Amino acid sequence: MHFETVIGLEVHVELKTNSKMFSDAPAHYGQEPNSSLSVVDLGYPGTLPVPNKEAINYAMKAAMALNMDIADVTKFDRKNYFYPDNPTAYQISQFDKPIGENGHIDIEIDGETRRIGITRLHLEEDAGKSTHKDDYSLVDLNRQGTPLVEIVSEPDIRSPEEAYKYLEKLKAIIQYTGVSDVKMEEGSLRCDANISLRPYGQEEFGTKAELKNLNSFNFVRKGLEHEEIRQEKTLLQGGEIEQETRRYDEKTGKTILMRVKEGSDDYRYFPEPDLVDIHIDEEWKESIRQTIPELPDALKKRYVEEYKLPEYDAEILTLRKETSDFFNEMVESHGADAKLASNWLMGGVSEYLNKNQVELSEIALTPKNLTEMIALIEDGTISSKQAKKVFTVLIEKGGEAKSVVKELGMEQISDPAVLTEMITEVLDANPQSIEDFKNGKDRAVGFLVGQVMKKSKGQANPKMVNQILVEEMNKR
Amino acid sequence: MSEITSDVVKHVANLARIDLQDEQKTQEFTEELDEILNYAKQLEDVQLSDTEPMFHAVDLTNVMREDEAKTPLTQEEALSNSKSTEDGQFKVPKML
Repeated sequence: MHFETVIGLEVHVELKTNSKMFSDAPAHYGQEPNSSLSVVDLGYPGTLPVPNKEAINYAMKAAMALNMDIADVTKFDRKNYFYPDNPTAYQISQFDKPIGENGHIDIEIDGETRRIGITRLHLEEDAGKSTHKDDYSLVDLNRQGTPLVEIVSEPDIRSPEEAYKYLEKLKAIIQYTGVSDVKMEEGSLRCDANISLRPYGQEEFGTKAELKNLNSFNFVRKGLEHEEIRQEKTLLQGGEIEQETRRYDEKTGKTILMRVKEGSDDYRYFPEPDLVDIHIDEEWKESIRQTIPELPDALKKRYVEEYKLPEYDAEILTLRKETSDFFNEMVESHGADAKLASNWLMGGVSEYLNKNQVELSEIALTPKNLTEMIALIEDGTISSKQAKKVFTVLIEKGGEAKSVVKELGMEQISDPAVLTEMITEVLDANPQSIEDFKNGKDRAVGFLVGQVMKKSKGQANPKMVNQILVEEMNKR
Repeated sequence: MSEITSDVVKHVANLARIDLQDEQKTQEFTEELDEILNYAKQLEDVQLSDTEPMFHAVDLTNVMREDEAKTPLTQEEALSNSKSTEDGQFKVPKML
């Protein structure tokens, strides 16, 4: 690269409230279009919006988790634009007094910690969805009025990889706070990216392009990589970058011009006359601060320091709250060994989830049962090969590890009396092997162990068989 | 005189999706808007340096509601004032 890349990200996160931002229509709905609306959402004359207190609480909680300063006074503003997905012809948003400002998150890049600033977090309402047909469009307004927070980063991001890491961390933090599902595939997390280039050492930013239609973190990275090259080529050929909005095309991996960007003035922001200021006093702030759980960074640190897990394990386990909750329960409530628990979660469990495209909450495995299964491997009741079968049952059907082992008839035989009886039978039938053993042929032991295993249908504890076998032969 | 020109009027009309092609109409609007803005400009002569700006006639704060969802309108009700619908959706002129 001949230039330094400068990236800023705007992330929209849908809040998981029961009702909408400014109306009492349900914020969750099924497939039936236009079935979750009130007269407020439809923008009927004479209706008035009333803010949802829980949405304000959630926005505050997210802002606090992102290390932001919380406003003492916050207010709503109108952002005016005409588009059929919004019946009021304006979006109620926040302009100059957002709920949160001046935050940051830390990301790990090449083993080093980079701090990415977050300019602001503000509350707003979502718009409806439109479907474009050949010569007309259809509008479903169910989503209209769903509470959203917009989180705007500082232009601190220096590569597409950093953008990816920032999103991953942001998503994890928000997920831990529980204020949103943060699922990009379901639209509860959306991302737009601003990118510009400048010569190394130059203070001033270059002209930026905005990328839209980035439907996964991977596409964010790819879209930015493509845009980096496009801008570099243009600049090296003596061209200029236009301030424009470009759409990422998943099929070609290219970015395509959508429109030259409207200026902020064109939105004609003004204070929302239908709503009054919100004053947030210390007591209110404190009551929200109390509800913030241990966040990924703190948890990660604890896993490394307390449980002596490798950094890598700690990082993976804390990416999703479900995973760290599962791990915590295994270790803290059921006494699992931390490293073994981590190995199973990052290995077998994660493999199964990826392969079947399901989530941890959707499988039958519980922290208690996985802990039990690990204990059965450790005490030699089952071999690690047998554990794989038990694991599949636990994950697909559930049940207690011990009973599954019994049902599958794979409990290892570790009773010395039973083993000795089998061994005696095998020895009686193979006098030649005993002689070979006495003549120093160690191979004979392997053969005899094999015979015992065969007799026990593979259920004998091989370690113990070996030990008792040698003892018995020495007696003869 | 304020800074309203016919270009500003055309730009604002475009943002509001008002079809303003008639030059004579544009001229009329330019003059009218100019008069209105000049009228409002009288406020600039008032001494307000000691007055806090206010955005509301009422002195209220923290008007909020609890997060309770109520029964929404039926799809039929929601669409009842629309001139054109299809498959339970609002049918509108082509957007893209």
